Amino acid sequence: MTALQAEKPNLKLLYLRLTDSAPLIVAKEMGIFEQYGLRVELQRETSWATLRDKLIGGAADAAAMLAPMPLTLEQTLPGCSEKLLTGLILSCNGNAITLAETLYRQLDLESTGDTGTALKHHIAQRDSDQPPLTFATVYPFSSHSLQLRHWLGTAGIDPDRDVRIVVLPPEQMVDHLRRGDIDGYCVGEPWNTLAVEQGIGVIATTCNTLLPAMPEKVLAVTESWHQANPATHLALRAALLEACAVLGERSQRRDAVSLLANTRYLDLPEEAIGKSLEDKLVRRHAAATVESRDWHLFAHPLSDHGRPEAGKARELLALSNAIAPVDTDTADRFRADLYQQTLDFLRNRARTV
Amino acid sequence: MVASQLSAAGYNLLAQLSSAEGLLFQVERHRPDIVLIDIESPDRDILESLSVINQHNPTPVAMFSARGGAEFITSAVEAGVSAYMAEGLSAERVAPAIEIAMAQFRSYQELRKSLERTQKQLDERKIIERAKGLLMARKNISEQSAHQTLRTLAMNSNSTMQAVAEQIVAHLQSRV
Repeated sequence: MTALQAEKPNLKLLYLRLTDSAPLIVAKEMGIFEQYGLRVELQRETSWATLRDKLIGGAADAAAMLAPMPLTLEQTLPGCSEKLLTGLILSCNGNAITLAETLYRQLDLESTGDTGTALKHHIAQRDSDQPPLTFATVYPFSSHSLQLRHWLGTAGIDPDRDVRIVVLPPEQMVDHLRRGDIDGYCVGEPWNTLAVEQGIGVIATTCNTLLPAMPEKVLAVTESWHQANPATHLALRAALLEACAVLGERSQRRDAVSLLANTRYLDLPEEAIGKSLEDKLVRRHAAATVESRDWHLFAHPLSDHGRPEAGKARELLALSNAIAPVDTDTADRFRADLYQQTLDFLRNRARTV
Repeated sequence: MVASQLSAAGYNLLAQLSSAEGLLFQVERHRPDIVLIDIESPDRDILESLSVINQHNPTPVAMFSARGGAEFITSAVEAGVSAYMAEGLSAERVAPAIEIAMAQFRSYQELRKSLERTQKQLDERKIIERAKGLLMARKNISEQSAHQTLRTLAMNSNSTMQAVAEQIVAHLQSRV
């Protein structure tokens, strides 16, 4: 192997309790980090804000982060002197939109055809003195918010006026749905499948069919960390791109399920984690399993899904701008040049082995 | 313990919540002046949404660390992250920390508003440019006369150039 002189071989990486944290867990458990000379500790976080603050404060080296977060940092932390950047999109897709079973039962699906249209009719028929239906997403500037707004908009529902959109942590979605605090949500897996399994939620759509290949999680580092540790960053991207490629193979995904389910990581039943990782969609409790291709779409050296192009950043920014005005000049936080560097390194390494 | 220290410092505690208790809905009910939260709480993203998105009442937030191992806080605060209190709450530290958080919140809101204003001006300029472009193409006039036309129309109808531009774009596009 071509030796990389990593400036900092001992690293701490942050992630949240979600199925698409898989590349980090797979790279750790399958020894891929070690093959690149890295000793990595994974640390589970409970909120995107704290994950980001720890990264900025230097309590961690890198994190699996929501793709729009590095782009919208100025809006969320207007006084922040640090910048976040990414040289690798870890995965696309991975989310779904779930409606409360109680709401779903009230929808007239026979005459309207699809769930979105039925929901629009339902909202139009509600008494004006009733509080609006409430939907939850995981963070203001997240693919989840963009996907939920898009789905509502496509059905002719105004996301700002016809419904109320709030933010809740992924782990609390199912409980809030059960209590009736919210009528639906957009969240990453396995939190949709879990609501279906408990019979309290119905998956209206998976986001891979709604807005295919939308960047979901990126490997984020601070600009100053990248400048101080360029070779470590390259080794980290190479290891994680390899882990992503492993996850592209169906047989490997089955092995990944048991790694993820471990109490150290997601601490959830294999049954629930396995569904989306194996493209198996069960929309409603006791319904038949259907295939949902690319429910998770991980990066791969032979595809372009992992390449953080400025054009992808601009698309995310344009969509985010509908939530709150964002600085449109941050597309350069997506560093396609660093992705290319990873590919060149991997090719060069393959030749010399 | 935190509660008594806050009272000792002269604060009126509206509600005390453990996580997963519907913080969002409690904030709406009590409309607090400030929320204090543990940095390890999963509810942090809820609070962040309250200050980022203006459709809800924006709420200032101060954070503290109940446990140790929060050395990152100093550098995070230096980088402008937020008003954190490093090692738990104490009566003499809570008042200044709350004041810092409220002051920072106000300056953040100002920055956000100016960002919104800039964005709005950009959007306005875009629509005016489009209207001028359409006028130039349809009426075969110069950029300067297109600009003048817009300004005259705005003055005569006692409205803004943007409003006139919007009408022109809508009108000319509907004829395509």
